[in-house]
Amino acid sequence: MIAYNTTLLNNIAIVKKAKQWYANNLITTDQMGTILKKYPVDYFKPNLFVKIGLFVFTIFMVSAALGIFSLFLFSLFANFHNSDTTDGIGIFASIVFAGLCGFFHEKFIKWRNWYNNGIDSALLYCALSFTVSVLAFGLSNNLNGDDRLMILYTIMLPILFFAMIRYIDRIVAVLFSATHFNTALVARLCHTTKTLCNQ
Amino acid sequence: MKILEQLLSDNILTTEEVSSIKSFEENKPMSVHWELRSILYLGVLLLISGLGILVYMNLDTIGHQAIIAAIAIACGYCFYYGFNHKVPFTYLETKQISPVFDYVVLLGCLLLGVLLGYLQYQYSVFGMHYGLATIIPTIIYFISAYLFDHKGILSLGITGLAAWAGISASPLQLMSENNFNELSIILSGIAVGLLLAGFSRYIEIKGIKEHFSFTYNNFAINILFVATLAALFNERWKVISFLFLAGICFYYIRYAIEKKSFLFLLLSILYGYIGLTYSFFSILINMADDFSIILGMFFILASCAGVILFFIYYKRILKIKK
Repeated sequence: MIAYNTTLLNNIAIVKKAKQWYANNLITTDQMGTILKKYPVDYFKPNLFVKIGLFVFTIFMVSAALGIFSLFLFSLFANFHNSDTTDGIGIFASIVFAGLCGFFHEKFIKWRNWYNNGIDSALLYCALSFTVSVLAFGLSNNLNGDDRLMILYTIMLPILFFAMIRYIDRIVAVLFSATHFNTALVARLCHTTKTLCNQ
Repeated sequence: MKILEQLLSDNILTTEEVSSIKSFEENKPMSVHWELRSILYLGVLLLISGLGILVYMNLDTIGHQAIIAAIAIACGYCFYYGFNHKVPFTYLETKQISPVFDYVVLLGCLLLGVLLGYLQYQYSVFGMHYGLATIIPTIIYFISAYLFDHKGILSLGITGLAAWAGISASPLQLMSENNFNELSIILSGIAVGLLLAGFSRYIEIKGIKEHFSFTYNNFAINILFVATLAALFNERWKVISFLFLAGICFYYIRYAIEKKSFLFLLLSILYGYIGLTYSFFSILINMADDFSIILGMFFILASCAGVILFFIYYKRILKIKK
């Protein structure tokens, strides 16, 4: 279920524990050496500041790509200007970008053994935000606000849950809990409003 | 535990070792270091703001002289404590014996600032000589930073110096408060930045309190880049500003490699990227046709990819061994 290389994650956990034991003199230097050799943690592990830089520039890059793509699309449909075409272009661009971000995220994890280096989280958050924007463009404007939110939350919940489990990401986990809470809140609000209206 | 079982089955650990590690894991104390520190920090913050509000509400019954006297006594005691407990001065980094020493002398310096500010606000001790009002605490801060070997006080001193030179230099305030349109402010910023960077070079070569050079450079890089970018955005002779920016970038990337400091690498690349993008787009705007927008987008795409590749492969590109 986890997208990342599970042997790598396992090795990271083992080496982390072993270092604690080594610091407390519970295992010998030889044993520590054997552990490091037997459970290699060989992956691109940037420093915190480099991680921040990678994250920021990945987001810039996705935005620029989105800009080029939408300019291209809008120039194609320049003659049909109404709100439906705009929504359609929005949905199409968002689907394409959600797909691309998700695809490259998956593939880079496979190809390059990426884990927690800033680019992967940036791609994941981009993919999730594009999914939200697909829904935001796609849901009809005729629904009232609460219903739109309710549908958005209900569709996003399982997607966020899936992303949380598959990419073991803390921020997605927080988002998931927040969405969960909000769904309950909005449901409660809808219920109250409807009861009030019926009275 | 799963890890222990795996290590046992891989014949790295023996059964006795596993049992001793198990008992260690079960009996080890849980660290609440950060929780305690957060509570302490919160407590100090609440205490100070509560006291401030209390004094403010009862100002008319307490009177200014009483408050000033209280601050002066507290400040004097802090400095007295500092002089009595400090380790003798050396050119190297010194480790103070008492754990509260750093906090007491920092409090003393902050109280000194408050005291002078209060005197100036209430009684205009320095009159209109604002320069004098900033340079006096700045000099005291620099002296105490070197005497007590304290980086926090050094930051106060550098901020005072920059304020004296015409800007208030903490990185956040630089962005939000200062109006950078004045050429004189930009030039004084650049002068302070160059002075700090040069001085940190000097102390590194001479070996006088070398560990201070991070603090000096941290201020210098922010002041220099923000001032140069402001010059690039607002002033004429853009080519000179751009070349100067490139020079600073080059210097700080070299410095980052030399010191293995990722912070300086990130800062110089971010600021350099802002300058480069601005210059590219100002050339594009002069061209002004439909194609230039697409070209701009492609520029952002390509340059971001370039920066990302640089971050991934910088060890190989700059030939740093791991």
